[in-house]
Amino acid sequence: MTGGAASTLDNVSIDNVTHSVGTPAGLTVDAGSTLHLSNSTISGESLVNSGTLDAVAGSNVLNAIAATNLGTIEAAGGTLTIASGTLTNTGSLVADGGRTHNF
Amino acid sequence: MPTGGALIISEAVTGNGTATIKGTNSVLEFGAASSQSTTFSTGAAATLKLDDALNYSGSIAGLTSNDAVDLASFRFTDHPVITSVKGAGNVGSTTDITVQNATQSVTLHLLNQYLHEFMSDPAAYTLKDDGHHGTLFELLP
Repeated sequence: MTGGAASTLDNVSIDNVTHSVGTPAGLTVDAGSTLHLSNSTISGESLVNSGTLDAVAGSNVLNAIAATNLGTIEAAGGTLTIASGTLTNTGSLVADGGRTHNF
Repeated sequence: MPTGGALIISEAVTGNGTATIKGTNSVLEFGAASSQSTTFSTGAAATLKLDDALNYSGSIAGLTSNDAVDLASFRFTDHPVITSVKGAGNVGSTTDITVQNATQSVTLHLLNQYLHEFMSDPAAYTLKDDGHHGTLFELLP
């Protein structure tokens, strides 16, 4: 995925992808939607999560992101690193080692 | 067989949200200051890792002898000790446990979800090497 426009992802899985933009853009996960991450990196933009951002496998990174979490950010079976950015959390942060993945 | 999920947050977390640790071998790591209250879910065998324990001000709920709080910035070779345990153990109150070494002091706030969940006896708790130079805080079985 590339580009500088805002992205809205609803019920999407990102596998083995690096998503970055040169200037801040926006990535939004709507309430009731889930963004699955597997071995993926998202960097250099703003993120507003009102749904569920779910790292399900592998190593996943949110890098240099201004993130606002109103929903759930979860690592379940993989690693999710939120690095070198900011995180405002009024929702839930979850590390879950007990979930079976069905999607 | 599920493996543990690891959520690692390198930067300071702001906001009044919450954090939950579930399942086996899960790790929630706060790399910097955080005021997020953390709950270990029933049945968890997991770790809350605090890289900047001095600046973690959230409460900790649901901690059992299967879990650990990793005080990563407290070198175990500096001989940290539990110097104080305070609290009446009433439901909704915290038992406040202070860990000190020669140069640092941190107080963990364990939330009593039922009466006397967290004992006021320092002997109920232990400190051990985390294997990475830091210090694990645990409840004795």
